[in-house]
Amino acid sequence: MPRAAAGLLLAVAVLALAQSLQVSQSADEVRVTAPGFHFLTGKPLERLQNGNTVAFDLLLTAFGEGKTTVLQRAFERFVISYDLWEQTYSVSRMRSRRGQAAHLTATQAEEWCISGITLRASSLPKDDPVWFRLEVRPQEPKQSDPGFDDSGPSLATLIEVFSRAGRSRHAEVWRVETGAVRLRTR
Amino acid sequence: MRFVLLLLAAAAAAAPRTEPPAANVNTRYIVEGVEFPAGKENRLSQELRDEITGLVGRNYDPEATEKLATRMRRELRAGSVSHRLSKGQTPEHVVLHFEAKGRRIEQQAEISKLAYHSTQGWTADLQFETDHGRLRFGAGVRSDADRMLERTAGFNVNLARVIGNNRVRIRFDHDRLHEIWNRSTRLAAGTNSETTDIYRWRWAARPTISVVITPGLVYTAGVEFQHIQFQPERLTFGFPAARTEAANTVLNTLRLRRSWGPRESLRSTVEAGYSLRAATKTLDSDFVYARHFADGRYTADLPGDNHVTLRAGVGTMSGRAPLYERFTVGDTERVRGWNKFDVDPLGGSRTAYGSVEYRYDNFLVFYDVGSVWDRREARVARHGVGAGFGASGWFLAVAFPLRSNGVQPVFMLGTTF
Repeated sequence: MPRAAAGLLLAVAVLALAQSLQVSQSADEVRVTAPGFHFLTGKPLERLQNGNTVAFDLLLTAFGEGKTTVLQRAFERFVISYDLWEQTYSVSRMRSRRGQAAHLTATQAEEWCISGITLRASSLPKDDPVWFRLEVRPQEPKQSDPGFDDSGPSLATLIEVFSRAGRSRHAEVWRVETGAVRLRTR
Repeated sequence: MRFVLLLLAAAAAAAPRTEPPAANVNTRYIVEGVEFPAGKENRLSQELRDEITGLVGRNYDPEATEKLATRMRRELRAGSVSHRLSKGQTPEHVVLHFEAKGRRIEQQAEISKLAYHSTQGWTADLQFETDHGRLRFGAGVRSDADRMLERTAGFNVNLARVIGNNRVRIRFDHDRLHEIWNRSTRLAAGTNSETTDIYRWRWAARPTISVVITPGLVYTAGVEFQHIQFQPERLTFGFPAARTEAANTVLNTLRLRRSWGPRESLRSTVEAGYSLRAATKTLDSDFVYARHFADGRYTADLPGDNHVTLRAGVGTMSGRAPLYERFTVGDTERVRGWNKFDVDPLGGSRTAYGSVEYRYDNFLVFYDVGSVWDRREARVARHGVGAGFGASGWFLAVAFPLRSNGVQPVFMLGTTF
């Protein structure tokens, strides 16, 4: 095997290890942490450092039966902004429970988002292996199109959301998964 | 993967669409200065520039800034206008930078028109439209005695969609029209080798595609399939011989609109266009002709509510075309003061006209000149002068034809909306 290809394989393996998803359980909540997994990068980071807010949608999914069945899903949206003078991040949770954290480093902001999304342990099997997948997707900047209504969701905005979903096949989506995990019985 | 994206999108739709302003931590900083898109400041209206510079000295407000960016995008006809912040010179102050990218096609609003000409009667053209994202559906009804030789009554529907990076629009139009003729045109029809008989109705289907070449410059190409039912005055075996013929044309149009200069001194606006309609046997057309038309309009908005408008148009046509293609002057826009049926009840295959209009506040005066003629015919220039009241979107005027015999005033009023 050529040395370059071997080096590439090693790099991919190290990256996969660095981006592993770890699962923890407390009471009826299943949380995940993802050391080495970063989504404050690329264009979203550029937009943040230009003083804009960027919304990130996080989707945590639990699979069963060899990753063929979806057992449970949790979705949360976080809005992040970057303080130009303090050079720190501020995060607001927008959906299930409102909450805010400020004066965070990039890594702390990512961790705060990931720790804020949970699954119910009681709805997951205790004896069978479960796989977890975390997906993070930044929202495109709001289109300033005169055809859109500022007053809230409308037929036009829904068409836009779904056509955006169709267009965003190449948009940035970060994904990290666990191997098979067995939850502990209480 | 597709399902996950769809789920994320659906969840996004269910989630609040816009974050509260407090979500941006920079709202606590004061805007120290504003930077407009490079080289484009003069293309913005004074009102918008005032509102944007009014952000200076206030806390950064993302929502208000986004609304101003949307208006800026419309005025610049840009593909997108974004904004970014940078640290200001003073601590806890920021500078707001607007950036414009690309260009986009205007989903032009169809213009409704009401007009009255004292010798030609009323014209009403009412257009309705609705947007669904990038789709626009339009429909209209009209009884128009102003633009052509005949009074055209009927309806039209259209569907347009902007595609690509907002620079391309595809559109489909369908018209169904019934024609009512002036007596002098009915009598003269068919007596000229360059003209056709009159017709009773026609329908048209017109797919087109428009592309923005540079901001303000739009090229449109397409085809038009027109079916015309002729029912001439002459009788065949005691009955009018009705027949249907096709006028299928290739369409090409180039239109430019540019404004420049600050409103407080001299604001100039130029609108110009060239169109070519060519009917060809290739499209199975019964008529073969080529119609060229170019027009231009220059408006100077001067200080103190003074406005000067210069307009001109030239057109020429070869071959034998249906009457709706023939050029006319003597209506509420071209060579005002004249009745188009007095100029020529069959119009002409050539035209040239011009106009100078001066408006102070709502008072206006104008001088128009123009002519229509056919090949191998002498050109006779018609002159008209008039005065009245008007502003952008409406006018009320009286105009006089300048001729040696029988000067009869023409009253006109009109509004577009």
